[in-house]
Amino acid sequence: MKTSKLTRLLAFFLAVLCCVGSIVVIGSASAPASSEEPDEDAKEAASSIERMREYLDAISYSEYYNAYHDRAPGEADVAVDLTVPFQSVENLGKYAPYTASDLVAGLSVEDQKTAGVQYSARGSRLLSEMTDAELAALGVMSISDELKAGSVYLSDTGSVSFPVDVPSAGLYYIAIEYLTVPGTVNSVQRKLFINNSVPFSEASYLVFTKNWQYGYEIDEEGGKDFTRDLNGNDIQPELVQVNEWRTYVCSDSVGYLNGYFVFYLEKGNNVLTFEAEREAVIFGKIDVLAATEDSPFKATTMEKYLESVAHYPNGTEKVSKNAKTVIEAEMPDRVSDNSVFMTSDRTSAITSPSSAKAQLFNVIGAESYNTIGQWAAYNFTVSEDGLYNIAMRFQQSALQGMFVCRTIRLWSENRDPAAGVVYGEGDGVTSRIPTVPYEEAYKTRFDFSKKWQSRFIGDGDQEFLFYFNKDQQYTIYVEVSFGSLADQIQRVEASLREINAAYLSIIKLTGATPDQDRDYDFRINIPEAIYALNYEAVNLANIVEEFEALCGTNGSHLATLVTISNLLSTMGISEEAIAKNVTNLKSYLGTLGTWINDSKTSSMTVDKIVIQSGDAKKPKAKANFFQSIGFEIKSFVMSFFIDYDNMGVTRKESVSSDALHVWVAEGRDQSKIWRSIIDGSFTENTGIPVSLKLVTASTLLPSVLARSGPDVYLGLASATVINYAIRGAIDTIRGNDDFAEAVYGLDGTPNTADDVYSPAAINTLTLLNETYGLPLTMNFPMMYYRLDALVSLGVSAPTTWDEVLALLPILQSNNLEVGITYTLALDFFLYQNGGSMWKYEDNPEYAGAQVGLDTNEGLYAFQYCTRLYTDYGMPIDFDAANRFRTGEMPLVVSDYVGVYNTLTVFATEIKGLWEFTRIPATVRADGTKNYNSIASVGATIMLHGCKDPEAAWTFMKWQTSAETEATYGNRMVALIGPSAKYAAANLGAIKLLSWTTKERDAIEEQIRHLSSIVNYPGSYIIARYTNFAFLDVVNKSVDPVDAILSYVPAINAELTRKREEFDLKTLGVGETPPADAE
Amino acid sequence: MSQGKQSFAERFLGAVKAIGAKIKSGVLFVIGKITGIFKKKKDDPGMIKDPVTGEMRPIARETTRRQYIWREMKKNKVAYLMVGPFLILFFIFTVLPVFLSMILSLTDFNMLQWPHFKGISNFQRLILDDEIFLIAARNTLIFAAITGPVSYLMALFIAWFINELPPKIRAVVTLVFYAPSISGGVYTIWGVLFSADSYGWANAVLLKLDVISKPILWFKNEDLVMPLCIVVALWTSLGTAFLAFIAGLQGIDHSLYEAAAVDGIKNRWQELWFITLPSMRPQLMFGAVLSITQSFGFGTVVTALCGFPSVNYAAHTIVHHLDDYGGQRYEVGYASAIAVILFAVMITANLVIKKALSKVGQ
Repeated sequence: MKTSKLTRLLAFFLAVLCCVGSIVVIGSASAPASSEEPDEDAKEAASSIERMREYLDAISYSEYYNAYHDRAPGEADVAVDLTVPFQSVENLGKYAPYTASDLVAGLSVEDQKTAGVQYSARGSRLLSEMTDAELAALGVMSISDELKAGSVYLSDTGSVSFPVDVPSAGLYYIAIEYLTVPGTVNSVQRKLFINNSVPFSEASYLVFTKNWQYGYEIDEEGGKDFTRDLNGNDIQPELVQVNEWRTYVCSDSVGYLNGYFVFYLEKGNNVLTFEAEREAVIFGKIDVLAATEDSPFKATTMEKYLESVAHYPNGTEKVSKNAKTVIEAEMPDRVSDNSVFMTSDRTSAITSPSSAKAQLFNVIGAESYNTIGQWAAYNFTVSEDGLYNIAMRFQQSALQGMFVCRTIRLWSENRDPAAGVVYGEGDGVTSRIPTVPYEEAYKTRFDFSKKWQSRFIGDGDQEFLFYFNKDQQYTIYVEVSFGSLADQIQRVEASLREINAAYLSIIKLTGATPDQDRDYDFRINIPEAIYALNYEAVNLANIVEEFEALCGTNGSHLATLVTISNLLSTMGISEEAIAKNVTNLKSYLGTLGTWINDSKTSSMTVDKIVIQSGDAKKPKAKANFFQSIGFEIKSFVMSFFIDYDNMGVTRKESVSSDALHVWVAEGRDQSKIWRSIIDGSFTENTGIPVSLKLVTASTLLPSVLARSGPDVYLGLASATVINYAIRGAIDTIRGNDDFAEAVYGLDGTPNTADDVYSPAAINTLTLLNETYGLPLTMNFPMMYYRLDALVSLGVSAPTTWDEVLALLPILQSNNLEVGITYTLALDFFLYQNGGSMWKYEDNPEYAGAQVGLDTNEGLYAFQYCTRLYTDYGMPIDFDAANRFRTGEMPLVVSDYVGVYNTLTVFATEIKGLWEFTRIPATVRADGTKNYNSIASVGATIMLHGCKDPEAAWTFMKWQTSAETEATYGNRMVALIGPSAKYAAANLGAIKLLSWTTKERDAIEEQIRHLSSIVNYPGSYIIARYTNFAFLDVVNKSVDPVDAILSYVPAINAELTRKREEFDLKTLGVGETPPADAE
Repeated sequence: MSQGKQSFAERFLGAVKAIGAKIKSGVLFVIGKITGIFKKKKDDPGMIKDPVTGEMRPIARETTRRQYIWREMKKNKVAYLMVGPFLILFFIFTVLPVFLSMILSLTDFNMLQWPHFKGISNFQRLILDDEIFLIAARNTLIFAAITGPVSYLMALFIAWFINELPPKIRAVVTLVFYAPSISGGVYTIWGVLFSADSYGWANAVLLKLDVISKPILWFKNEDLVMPLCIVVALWTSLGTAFLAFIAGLQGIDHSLYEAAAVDGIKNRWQELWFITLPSMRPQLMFGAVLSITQSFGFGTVVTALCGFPSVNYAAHTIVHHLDDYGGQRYEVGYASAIAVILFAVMITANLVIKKALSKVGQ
């Protein structure tokens, strides 16, 4: 006992010593960084931290509501005059809210003042000041002068503030009439500030949906149908953005709140600021509406609704059994975004329509149309006045033992109150806002079953009744929502954040692999974390109970929560258990994140919606035995006759052998998209038929050898392009007259504003002054960082490597790490310092003859890079996505599209907590900063022996053009989801892809700073030997310079050998290119 | 790409296996059987039963050997028709590639352009001017010398032990030992175990016990790569040979043991050496061929665990060298030369083993 006390005492002293030590280290590390440059940069950094902190610390709406809900509602509605900020430049400045908002674009506060405040509005203008041509470009063709005078165009960057004079302090709704303009597939997104601060965190994500309409084939009678391919398969119709006035009442885009936000506004002048996150938009009107009891935005109950419709014709009676309107769910009239699409279901014989042979669209939903807030709208009329039920045939088999919810909103087209109840707000001419008929409709519930079901919709307690009138046309909006699960899921999400914080504070104390036998004194050191563990254990257990009460069953989906709750209580009760279970806790954090993802995607497949009386028979749910077996047998037999190769082909000539043969080695989804874009756009316009084949990547080499290869191949990696080119398998494209224009824009020179591709991308495809393909994809590393981690440490994201090194001790003393692989680090240091992997790159004949690692820059780069791992102890091998998710690795440098896609689907719980930016710069000797990253390229190439080079060249130019690439990228996102972001090489395409304004700015900024490494013959040897040299340094503590120099002769020897194979000029040891080579 | 280079290596292994096992035991056996049947049925007047050997032989002594073969073939055309499809496929996909690569080894073929004849320059460079090949050859021999015999003996003894167990337990234990080799890429578990990350199991345990202060780069450390790979190789090596041994052990006639006991066998070792092993000689041969081809062709596992190439070529084998040139450097002519040498080494090793096995039980 005595000894253990002594040990503890000793340990305490040691700990104190360590703490003092680390404080000194932190102090000394951060001191020079702050004392060196107390100028703009530091201020900028400080204000950006401040902004991040404010953003992260914003309270949630529920807290906001709790604080203000008992205040009086506002006295009267106020219409905001949108023209005020634009009346004079001073006005724009007077209300300009947030000086930091433009710092993202690299403009300092001072610069902003001198550049004039217009900059903060960045292109936002009054509609009345725009010319007709400008208006036409926005798709605003006919607009009344009255409307035009009050409307304002808000561009997709910057922010605009509107002053509003509120008659009395109180609670208000904010309703905005808006008109979408042509742009990307993104919904419009704005961040709302009231009097220069975000009132609650949800106000950062106000989402104004665009309206989308499918291009169906319309027959003479006005019936809709899908276009079919040559074999009778349905083809996904094109989705067109419909720009029409809609009204948006500020509400929760995440979906936890059913209904609309109420804002508390003080009496007198208030300023509403809208900061652009995504997309430009036109605001027609902003109304600040008093949140009174009888406000149309406060939903009534179904009981009251039934009373209110009783006085209409037949208002209390159910309609007869014959009054039936059948809506096929796969043909919505409007959808909220382009990832709501129809699919083909073959699990049931009676899903209508169905065919054993062809692929017919017959349902909507499944993997698409499952994100909160997405909706599909259907127009319908009824044949009798009276009360109706709505029956749906659906399948909900995603979440075992849980249910999913939909919100049902209605809209009446002919707005004649005398004829019957009018659904929705607005007059239908300038604006429309469908509303729920009663609050129960927010919680329309669909229970779990493996089989198809047919039900009258309801909230679980009662089936819903709706009054419809036979003279009206109605629209029903079926919107994905959390419904009655909102509260619980939101609490699990909050709980995850708490547990994650507790986890981070535990590993800050113990490191990633704690010593089980050590006494960390958790209760003394991190009492909050231990309290959080206990609290969340109970919290999760309660949530599970509530779920069980709601769902009536204890499904396997809930088991995860129970397990985590048990682990937390074990750790909370016994201190010894904490160290033992830290790694468990880490993996459970991931599980919990996945659980939330699963719960948020409420998948359901709908076949049809029937508006009918509750007394009539519902549509049949399941096929009978004979129907099923007949369908299965037919499908099996037909499967021998289906032509999978030519699925989606709509033109006969594309199947012929004269067509241009194009191969693509990607997934079936990707090839289908290419097929439809080629048929719809390329062949349509040029008349060149294209046969597209889906192959595996390894097919290309044998096919070239056998002279049976394609004419054009999509997406060949640049290293392979050079390998093929030097062996004569690929044709150069430099011979085409319009080559310079196609690659460098109209002026035909590189490094200008109208470059079609980054010169770095073209560089990787160029050998001996010949270019062997057009870049299709271009990827490059960028820096990802966790906002929350950096803010809690009080640092901003580093912009130079020196700052990274200064940050390292701070991170490491908190057991946090920086993730960057050494190959990337080496390339950055080499190229940012003005070095290159190759000597004599300006001399095409000798470029690639010798490696550039033994130059001063090369040696410096290698030395600097190895120091990161030896002296600074950065991890060499790590799982970046996982550690970034848990927050252990708040800085990660990795390919911009890959990590982005992974994090978007796999770590939704940290949405909004991370960003990416250009990689840190090297400060060169002359004080300039170089931010270069390294591009890697996939190219579209023309193979040697192409039958019709002219057609192939036309195809290549079309295929890598901005429009085509953007269409492809956007369709990918629509089909597969936000995780299918596409790294288009065409610089124009990047503007049209679905990035947020901020993300796109960062990407374009990095594209301005790109280098690339050409894969000259024999280049494979460099990666190999630098790897050996690096491992020598790490494993055997060899001096870095010695290590790399010992491999350089071997590298050069292999390069020489390889160049001799192709009769290229070589250089011996110590030789330089002859001076007269120029 | 990896498909192409892989198939080269595999085809040679396949050739060795098939030539050894299939042609000999399979084709000849079938032909012999069928001709036997036909002979009996037809009772050919031109044939006579040799009084000494008991086999049929032609009466007419004056026919040449070629005429004799032709006549025999015509007579047994049904049999040839039956083995025909297999022989044709075997020839096209196994024998022909072997010969083709022997021809290609004399050229500078690069997969995309027409090859040029280069004489024996590939072999010259390989043996005289390729340090990496020497490293690879050394590594391959070490691998083969350790994993070949050890895995062979391991398979044999484990089979022998397991054979003593009651049938039901035997079935379970057999599955347990056989599992690593049937479940394809299961060796990647070693990648997790010896991950270079501080979360890798081995690193985590060692860090926790304070044996090390920063993670060891297991599969990226020159000194550790080879031993680790050998361990993994042994772990996965209880494959088909092991099953063949078990089958062989069960096929032995028990009366032999009884007879041997009567004849004065003293212990289990004598029993093993004089009865068991000689009785299962075909299985031993089969197992030996497999184990040689495996130990020489051991490359996939190394690539999966150590990356390609392994650090400082520490676990670079001839198969890797072949992949390197055939796949990464597009020098298929040179790769073929490597393959030819590997082929020759394997054939030689096979012959040696066959000789050694004929000594079993003597």
